[in-house]
Amino acid sequence: MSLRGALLSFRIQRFESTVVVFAALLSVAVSAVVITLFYGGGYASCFGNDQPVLSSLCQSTPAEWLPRIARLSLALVPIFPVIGGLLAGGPIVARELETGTARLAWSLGPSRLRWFAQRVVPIFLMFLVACFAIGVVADSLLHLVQPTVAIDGSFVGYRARGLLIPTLGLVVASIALAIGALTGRTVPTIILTLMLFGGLIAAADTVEKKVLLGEAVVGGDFQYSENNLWLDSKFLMPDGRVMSWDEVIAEHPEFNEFGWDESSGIQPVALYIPGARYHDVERREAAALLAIALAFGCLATVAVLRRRPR
Amino acid sequence: MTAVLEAHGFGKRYRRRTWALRGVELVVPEGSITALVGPNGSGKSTLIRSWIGFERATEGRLSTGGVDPQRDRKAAVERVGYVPQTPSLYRDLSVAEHITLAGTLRDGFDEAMAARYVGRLSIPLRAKAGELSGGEGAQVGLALALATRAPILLLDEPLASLDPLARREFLHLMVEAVRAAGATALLSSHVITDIEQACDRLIVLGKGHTLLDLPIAEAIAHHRIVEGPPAEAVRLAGADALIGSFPAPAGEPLSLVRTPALVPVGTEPIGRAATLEEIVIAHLAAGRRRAADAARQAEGVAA
Ligand SMILES: Nc1ncnc2c1ncn2[C@@H]1O[C@H](COP(=O)(O)OP(=O)(O)OP(=O)(O)O)[C@@H](O)[C@H]1O
Ligand SMILES: [Mg+2]
Repeated sequence: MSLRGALLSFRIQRFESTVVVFAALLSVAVSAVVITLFYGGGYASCFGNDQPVLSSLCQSTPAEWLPRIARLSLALVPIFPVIGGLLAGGPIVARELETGTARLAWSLGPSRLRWFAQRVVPIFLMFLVACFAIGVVADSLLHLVQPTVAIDGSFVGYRARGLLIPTLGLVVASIALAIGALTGRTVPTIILTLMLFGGLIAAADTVEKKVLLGEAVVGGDFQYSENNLWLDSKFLMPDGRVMSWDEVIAEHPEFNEFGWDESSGIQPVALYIPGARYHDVERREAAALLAIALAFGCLATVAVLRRRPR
Repeated sequence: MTAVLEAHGFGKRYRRRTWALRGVELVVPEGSITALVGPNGSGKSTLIRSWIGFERATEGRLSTGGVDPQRDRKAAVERVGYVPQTPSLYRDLSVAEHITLAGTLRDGFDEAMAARYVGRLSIPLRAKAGELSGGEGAQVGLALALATRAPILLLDEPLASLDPLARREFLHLMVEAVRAAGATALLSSHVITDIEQACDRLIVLGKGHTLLDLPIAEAIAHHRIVEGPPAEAVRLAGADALIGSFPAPAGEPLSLVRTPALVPVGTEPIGRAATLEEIVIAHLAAGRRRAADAARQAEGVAA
């Protein structure tokens, strides 16, 4: 694949590439400014303590607005992989089929695989770089907004920062690519991709929760911190069994009427994954999502190789 | 004669609908420029698309430059320069960028040649495809197809959107390129007068099958227009078949008859030579009549 081919790929998808790159650059620039002003201006000292600091610096407009901008930017981060993935992956094959340019490209180029690689690789690389940048930005902004959170050892902002941003982006883009290659229409591609991605995330959530429950730490409320990933609240019986409230009731129907008795020796506990395992869990989920993206990538390739141009 | 495009018992049915083509037997010889004519929906585009591997045969077999386009689409595409019926340029790319793109997609694509052709058609290289007129777009498509230097050219109604002068230039360019490269071209068209000058073979497709497949010179030599009632015309011309008759504005009807090419020594040929257009129209009408008769017969059998 040549540089000329890659550049033409961006030209063909100029609008989408511009939007993705512009959004990423804007996000990086705004965050850089906010972070520089925040730490450089000494506003960081206003936060992270238990008591509010009542200096004039901490009551100035920037002290109020910088974290507000940071929070807003953070709230927008999870949207990026979805919208960006649709923009990057959706049109590649769908629009070429819809406008008929696939006919030209597939009759000029004997190897559809070469055409496909030339179209997909540059766009996906660009999108992944943009996602990585957004992921890093989200980490830094989270640190700014919640200084007490250990970025590398906390589930706060899970799936909305770091490595999972590019991975989720890749999943959306691959699904859009595959559906685009199958349907050959842009609008249905967007709708179906959103539906499929939603379903997939819900399913992944269920499976992941099952897996994590098997690995969960059982701890009293006091051991629980915001850095952990809370999974479920249960009850620890005096004999060591961990039960749900329904199971407890089944054994002690009287609790249902009179409420639960401290003297019974039953303790409320939380099932959670300690924050220290953040990267571990994150990487495992990233690997699973990568496999899903790969599957859709293969589906897209097969569709491109086998289908007829419209 | 080496055949570069072949169809044997070829049939194509789209989904569960009626057959677009059925039982097509065709052989296009190497080095020929063949015109493919037929009414709308007769399957011209379907046949062309099948030869480049864009459609799957429902039955029968095709060959494109010696390879089966269905088994080895890549090899078939390598042998073909194709201009689709509906223009398919990238709206946002300039003509020059199209040439570059073709260069990245196909080994051996002659970018200089493409630029030269585009220049000869006086289309600016910097112009965006979306800003070209329909005819200019078609011309860029031809320039791209020619610059593939493929041994086979498949042109699906390339003349449809061109003005008469542009049609002339287009055909001139095509014939020149095909002759220079020793290539073979097949073009579908509804504009029969232009075909007569550029092509040396004629294939007429009726609804779904071949009505005529022969060199144009032979077609002209074998068909005559004779004045008078059909039976009389056939007898007078010593013809072997009556293809059809046309009402004439004044006087006797005109009949198109098929004659042996050689007339006995000393006899003047009767009537006048038929034009290609008259030949095509008469055969198409005859094909339609036969199809209607067959349908009536089938109904009669069923009833
Ligand atoms: N993609 C398709 N799906 C279903 N039917 C199709 C498709 N393409 C063509 N057909 C049908 O096949 C038949 C032949 O179509 P084709 O486009 O090959 O005709 P054509 O000779 O090129 O006509 P025209 O002169 O109008 O271009 C038509 O009846 C058409 O309705
Ligand atoms: Mg057609």
